[in-house]
Amino acid sequence: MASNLMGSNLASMMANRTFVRRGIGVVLIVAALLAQRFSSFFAQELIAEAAILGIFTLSLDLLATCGLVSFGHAGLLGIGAYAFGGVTVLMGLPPSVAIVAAVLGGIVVSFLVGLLAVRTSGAFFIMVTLAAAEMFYAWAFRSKLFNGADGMGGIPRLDLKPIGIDLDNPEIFALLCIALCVIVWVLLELVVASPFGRTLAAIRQNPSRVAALGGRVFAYRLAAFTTSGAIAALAGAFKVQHTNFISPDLVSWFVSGDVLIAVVIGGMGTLVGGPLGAAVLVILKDVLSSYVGHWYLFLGAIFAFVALALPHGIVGYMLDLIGRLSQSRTPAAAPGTSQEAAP
Amino acid sequence: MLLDPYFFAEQVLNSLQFSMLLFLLAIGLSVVFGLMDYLNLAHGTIYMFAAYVAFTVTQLGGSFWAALALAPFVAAAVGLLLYFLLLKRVERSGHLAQVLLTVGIIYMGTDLMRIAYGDLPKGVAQPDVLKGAVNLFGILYPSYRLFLIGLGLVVMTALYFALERTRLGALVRAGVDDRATAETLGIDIGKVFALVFAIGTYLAGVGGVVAAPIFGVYPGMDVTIIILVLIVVVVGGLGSLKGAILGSLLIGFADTFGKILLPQFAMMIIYLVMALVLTFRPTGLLPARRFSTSV
Amino acid sequence: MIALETRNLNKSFGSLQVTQNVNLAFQQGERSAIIGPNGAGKTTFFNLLAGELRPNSGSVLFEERDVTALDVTSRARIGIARSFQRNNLFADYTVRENLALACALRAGTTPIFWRSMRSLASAHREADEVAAQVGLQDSLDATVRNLSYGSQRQLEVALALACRPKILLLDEPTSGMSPEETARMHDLITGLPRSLTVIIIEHDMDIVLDVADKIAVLDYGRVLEQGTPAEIRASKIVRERYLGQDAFDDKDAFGAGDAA
Repeated sequence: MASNLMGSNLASMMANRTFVRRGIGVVLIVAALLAQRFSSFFAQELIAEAAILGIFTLSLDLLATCGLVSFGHAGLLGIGAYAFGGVTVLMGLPPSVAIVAAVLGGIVVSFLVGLLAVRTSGAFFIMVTLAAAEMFYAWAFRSKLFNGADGMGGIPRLDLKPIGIDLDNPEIFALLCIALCVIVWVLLELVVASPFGRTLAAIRQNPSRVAALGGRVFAYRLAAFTTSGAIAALAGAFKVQHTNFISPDLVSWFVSGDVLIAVVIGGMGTLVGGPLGAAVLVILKDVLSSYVGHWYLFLGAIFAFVALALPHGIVGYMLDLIGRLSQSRTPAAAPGTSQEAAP
Repeated sequence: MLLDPYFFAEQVLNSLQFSMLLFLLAIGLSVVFGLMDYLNLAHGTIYMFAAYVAFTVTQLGGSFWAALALAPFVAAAVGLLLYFLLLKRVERSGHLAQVLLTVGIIYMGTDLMRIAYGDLPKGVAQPDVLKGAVNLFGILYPSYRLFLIGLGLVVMTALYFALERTRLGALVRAGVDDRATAETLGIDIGKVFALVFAIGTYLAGVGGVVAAPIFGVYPGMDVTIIILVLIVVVVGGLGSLKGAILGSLLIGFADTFGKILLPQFAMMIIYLVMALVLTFRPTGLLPARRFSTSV
Repeated sequence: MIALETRNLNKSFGSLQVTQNVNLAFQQGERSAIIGPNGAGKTTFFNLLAGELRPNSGSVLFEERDVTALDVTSRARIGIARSFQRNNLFADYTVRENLALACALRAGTTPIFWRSMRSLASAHREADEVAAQVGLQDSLDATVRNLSYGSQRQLEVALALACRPKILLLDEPTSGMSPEETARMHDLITGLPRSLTVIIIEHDMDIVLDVADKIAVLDYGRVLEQGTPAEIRASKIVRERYLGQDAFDDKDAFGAGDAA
């Protein structure tokens, strides 16, 4: 009897998707820290890149929580990047100020773009966000201020030397990026579990019902879009600190495609899937580009494969699997009665 | 500069010519989207592929006209192949899956063209009979561009009659309007889809061939054009011929005049046009489906 | 007091006139039924009442105030709630989560992003109460996707009730239900407080004749007849057009002024 109870407790814990997701997150954090600790110099750069992309994926996944899939998120990353670059290199202000400026810029721009974009949904939203990002790219390409297509170098990193942290050391920088990614993830986990987050998820499931229950769907979507923009801008600010360089390539639609595929590979809507997918994508690109010349061919094939075979992503697939396994272990109530046993 | 009537008229003609090109691609994308609810971003890849085929045809000694006759058919064949092998599988999987699949196809297509033809842009020569210019009320306008405008008008008229006067056109309009009802009426929507997809892809191929002498043939031309075409579809509204025409004209003019007036902000002008339209008409100016028919 | 009223309400889709000059008034606390053949425009009428659709002309008045310009969300907030003909629920959530969200939306606590949803004690308490009211108290932890159809219909009504509305619009609440489930829904409706004004679209005449104080019969978007159950039963026109003869055969159905 007691062992049955324990078994069913474990089963209900495993069936609790939140528990599994967060568990995967913890595993991922441990893996990242171990990788950072024991990796070569060059690998530190990859880890930083993956962590920053991880922050970027989290911003996209937050938006996906309310059912909006953006294909122009590179634009929001770019706002943070260009704001940071402009404030440090062009205005000569310290990086700490620039980070704040980047995030504020992200909030303002995503709010303004959102006012328009969020009125649409589904495919139109995809197209409008793509167009908005392209607009930014077209400007960045021709911008004399930022050297246009040639790009601008000399972007400084945050100066934490007064407290003994040297961010010019790639290992320390990689650790900082991991820490930042973890903080963003934890905060978003809290938001997703909050009434606000639950409303966003409800809007994804059934926007008309939320409206019929008195929820201002537009306001919630706009809030999600703006928050997403702030996080993407943060990622952008750190992206340019990582490469010490700014160029319009940061805002190209390839970047929008990258972050989207990363989220989908990991599992859209699972939050933790984003950083996981980011890690997978960064490693994949590194491996592919060292062995193959035309590696976009293979990347495209992976896009297609994921679209056809793995739509829920790695974490999504795992959650589905666990859900099905746990359902088969509990005695099923006869279907059609209103008394259903909780799995 | 704009005050010079000759210059202004020339830019109007340029806008018209660009609008025609946009239309050739937009109509296929719009009807496929309106009829099949399928967001096919790889539409531009077909356009690029046709341009490369045209290049190959001319390289092998064929004329421009041979390329124009052949390449769109090849493009449509490849498009249909893609449809039945790949695209069809995510027809009912939602827009995200379609975006991912078609973006994957874009990546693969661009790299395949790179492998086959290299990174440098290629050219396709204008046909001899269209080289030179025509004197139009005092303006000297390139004959080839006039040809493009004419071609676009012919296609528009042909499509209008096809949609409004033929049985197939009625089927397409019914399907766009209310697919479920059309299906219950016994219409084989699968065949209609395939046919519509083939025609849309064929037109994209035509676009690729006629664009080649003006814009050149290069990897990445698919993306440059598809973004504008998407905006045309958003602005014009889904699934309607009139919407595609209006959208193409609006964006064609906005792009051409934008590049002249404010070259650094041309894209911004286009975005503003889109923003304005969406503010007052969130589903575009002339979408085919405006009312829900549920009682 | 008149709780809800429409004046000369007209709605057309293109050339199809779906609602024609509908003048109906619903007294506070009254139970009204809207009946009529399929295609008569009943759900469209509900959509006009709830704010999902804007009329081409005419007005909707709530407690004597013109609310025609208000959208669905605004009308839900002032007290007009509706259930849907086809189950319109949050399929991935449990019954409790569905109801708690509805209660939190009503209470205005959904913008909170710094605490967990679970910590909203009052929303969950209200959710339990509404669940008990409709008879779903034993299914609170079931995911909606796994619920029986009848239970989903109950939740449909429960969500509308969670808004603590003044006007409750129920669109075919018993559609697709078994006799036991129908009986349960009947008890639910008769058990609703008289402070609530209830308007039901129904095809099940047993329920209609038993529950309704007033019945309005719609046909081709027009009000054919309005009255008490006894009056409707006795009405020759109603028996001809709706309860008896097939209305679609009637070629006189479209009068002058209707578009083909």
